[in-house]
Amino acid sequence: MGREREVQKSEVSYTEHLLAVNPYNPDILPDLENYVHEQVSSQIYSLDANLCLLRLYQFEPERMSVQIVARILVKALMALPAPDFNLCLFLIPERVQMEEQFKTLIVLSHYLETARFHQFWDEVAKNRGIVEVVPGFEQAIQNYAIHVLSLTYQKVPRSVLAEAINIEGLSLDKFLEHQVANSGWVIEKGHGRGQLIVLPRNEFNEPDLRKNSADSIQLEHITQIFPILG
Amino acid sequence: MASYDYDDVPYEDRQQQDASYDPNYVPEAVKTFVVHLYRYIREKNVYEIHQMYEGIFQKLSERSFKESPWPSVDAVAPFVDNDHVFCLLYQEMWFRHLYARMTPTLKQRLDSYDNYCSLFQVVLHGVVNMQLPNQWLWDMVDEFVYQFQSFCQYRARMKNKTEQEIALLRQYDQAWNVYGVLNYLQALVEKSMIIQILEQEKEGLEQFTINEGYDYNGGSNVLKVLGYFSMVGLLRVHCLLGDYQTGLKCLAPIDINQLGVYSSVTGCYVTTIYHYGFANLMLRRYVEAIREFNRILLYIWKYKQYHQKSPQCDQILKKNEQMYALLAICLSLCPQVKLIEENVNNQLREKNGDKMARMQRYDDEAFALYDELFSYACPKFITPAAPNYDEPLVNYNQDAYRLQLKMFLYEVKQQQLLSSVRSFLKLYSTISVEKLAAYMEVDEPTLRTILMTYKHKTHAVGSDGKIVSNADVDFYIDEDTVHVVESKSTKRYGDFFLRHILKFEEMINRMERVKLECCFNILTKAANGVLTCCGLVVIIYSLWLLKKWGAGVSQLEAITVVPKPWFIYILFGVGIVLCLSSLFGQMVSKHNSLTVLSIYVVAICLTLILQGGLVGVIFFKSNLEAEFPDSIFKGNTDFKNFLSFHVSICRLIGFTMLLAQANVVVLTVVVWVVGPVPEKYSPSAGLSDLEHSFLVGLESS
Repeated sequence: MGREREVQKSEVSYTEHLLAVNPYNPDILPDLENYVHEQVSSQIYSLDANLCLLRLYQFEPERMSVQIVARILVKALMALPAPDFNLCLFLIPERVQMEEQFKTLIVLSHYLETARFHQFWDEVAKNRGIVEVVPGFEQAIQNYAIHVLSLTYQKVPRSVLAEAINIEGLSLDKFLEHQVANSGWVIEKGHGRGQLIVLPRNEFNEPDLRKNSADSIQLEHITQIFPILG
Repeated sequence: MASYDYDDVPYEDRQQQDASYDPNYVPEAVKTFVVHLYRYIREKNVYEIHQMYEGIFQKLSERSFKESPWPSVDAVAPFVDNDHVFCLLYQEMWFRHLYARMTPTLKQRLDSYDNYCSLFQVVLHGVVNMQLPNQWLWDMVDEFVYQFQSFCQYRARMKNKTEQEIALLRQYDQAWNVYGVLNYLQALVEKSMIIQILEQEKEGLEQFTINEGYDYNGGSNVLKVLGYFSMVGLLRVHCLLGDYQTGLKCLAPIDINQLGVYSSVTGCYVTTIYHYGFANLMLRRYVEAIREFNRILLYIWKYKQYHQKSPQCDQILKKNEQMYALLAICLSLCPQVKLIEENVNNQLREKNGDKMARMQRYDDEAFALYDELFSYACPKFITPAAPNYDEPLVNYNQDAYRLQLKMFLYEVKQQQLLSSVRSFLKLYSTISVEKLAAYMEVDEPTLRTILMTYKHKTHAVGSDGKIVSNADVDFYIDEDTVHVVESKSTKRYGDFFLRHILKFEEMINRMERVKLECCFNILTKAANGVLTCCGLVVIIYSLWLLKKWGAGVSQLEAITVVPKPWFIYILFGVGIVLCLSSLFGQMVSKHNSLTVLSIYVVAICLTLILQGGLVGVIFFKSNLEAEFPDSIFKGNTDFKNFLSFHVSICRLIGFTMLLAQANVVVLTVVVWVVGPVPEKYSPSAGLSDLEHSFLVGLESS
């Protein structure tokens, strides 16, 4: 087991190394394609490598593999809230984007970007085939949903949370238990309408946390006026 | 769809260049130009090279080569010892001039690429010992990328290509190949070790930025600075390809928040910030884009009179307009007007004010405006792949642009409802979700998604992976209640006060000096005025004396030899000197320059000594009465008395005038010591950038 991990590690650094020394070399294309598969199988992610591959496809459209592009896009969706999905689309020609599976992915991205999680999960249910090939997809989207919720809410109704992460009933209870234990969530009794989940405070759902750092002055700036003060 | 015009539409007839153009004819002016330029390059005289390159080359192009190319490189080679590198440099300029003023043929495009390859090969593999102006090195990289972009656009217009052109394109498929272009830029970055140099500079081991890239130890700046500018070139190429993330990554070694070598060449400064801002706009980092656009637009606005002299004036103004359009887009999506400086804001309102008001409505007209502004201001996107020449020929030059535009408008559509949420939130400090939903005429779950969209879209992922808030109005939801938080301006008051304390201190110092100087200046002026009057009086008096003398002498007996009345002449001379010196003094006091003042002081002292000597010798040393023996007058006692009276008056005048002048000199010396008021009282960082600042560097070396 330990040895295996070591091999994998050196391989990762090999592709990253290729990327660093030879980013504009068409010969690294097969390596990058393999790396995409590896990202899918071992749940790692490298935007730069994927962009590099898309760039090479852009330079030589005849070498493009639709299947690999689809995987890159699913991986990019999982990277939300970062705008990776759009960054990839910028590099994919319009006529390729017209393909059915890409259209679906674009619709999925649209639902996520506009926080319509309910529609998103419905759509995913209809297109299991596209996203199921990439392990960890659901969890990554759930993380994104929690990210958006914690930007927005101090206290979120249980129903809203359930809809966003697409978990209900007993499994939601389990999930909440886990979060209470690990991420500092607190469960409160709401006003008659079931539970309320108190999300941890951050500078985005508690703007007071932000202001402190902004109004300090560095010492080296003060030194400029020492001669005047003295 | 808004019109999207490409500037280099091929005119077949324009390609047949002027029939009268003889590539082998070298006019005398060109000969002198190349000979001098060659000599200065060998002497590493950066200042003169810059003069020749920026000044003379433009002037000659304007005068003699308005619509025809310069003489061919083969024709000028004999004048420069057939120097290989110089010929490459000359040809680089030759092609640049051709691209700027004419439409290049396919053959010329291919040749220009070959020339760039040879030139970069020399820089990469040869040991170049030249020292070239940054402006020129930047122009090389800039033009290289521009010609690549231009070639891609040219190739993409397949419809009206002749068979001959297609055959050429097939044959030379390596020319302007995207791999080639990217690899040359990358090779320049790597070979120059510029990233390491900039790294080491942070630790104080290198002085790249302080020396503006020049090498004062006899080395060459060419590879280093080309490598530096190539990072900007890479940013630009990646933006043209739509790869904003990688573009920004290429630029990352340059700290954009500080001035640096990139900002020392105006064209480079503008290009860098334009692409940096655009990439950030596409990455939804609106605040970053707004901040940088504001900075460069303020810079252009402040120094606009300097740009008018520069050959890149049109380019800069075009980019200026484009960036105002981009700024309008940014501010419509993210209304952080507080970040904008007042003058920039005024300009923005003047240019795009009504458009911005209409863009807030997010109806069809607003989308048309987003479309229009984006199309006007975006870079000229390219499709890097060569077409399939066997398929039917279609134009694909707009494909890349359409894709980027579509993606952008898609983003705008996603943010459609945010502006109305924003306007409602501004009105309340707390509001229930239910009530807000009613106001916005949507149901409650939809409103919750809109609010979350607002949060997601206003919180971008920064370059370091952290979440950055771009929100002007912020809020949080506590169960069913929206709490609105007025975003306080995070203006750095500390910095603001520090800057103004320093400025104020400087102003007070300056005012005290001005007061002192004004006082002395007025005194000097008054003294000089009085002296002028005295001089005039003395002149009139001496003229009157001369007349009296003439009259007196004519009454004397004709036989006697009358000595010359030297004292009158001297007095006359003193009058003239007085007038002139005081007038000169008046003129000098208007000039605020140290050199003029010192010249004046030295001159006036010399005059004073001379004058003093003469007055002393004539009036006091020589016995005037003895020169006019009684025998001459023969009883004309009236005349004699008259004379002896006026001789003593003259003595008095001579002496007093000397004293008065000495007084004025003392005053002037005081003014001189106090020193003229420096015109520029705040050390503005930008100003020196425009005045070809390597001059400063050369002096200090």
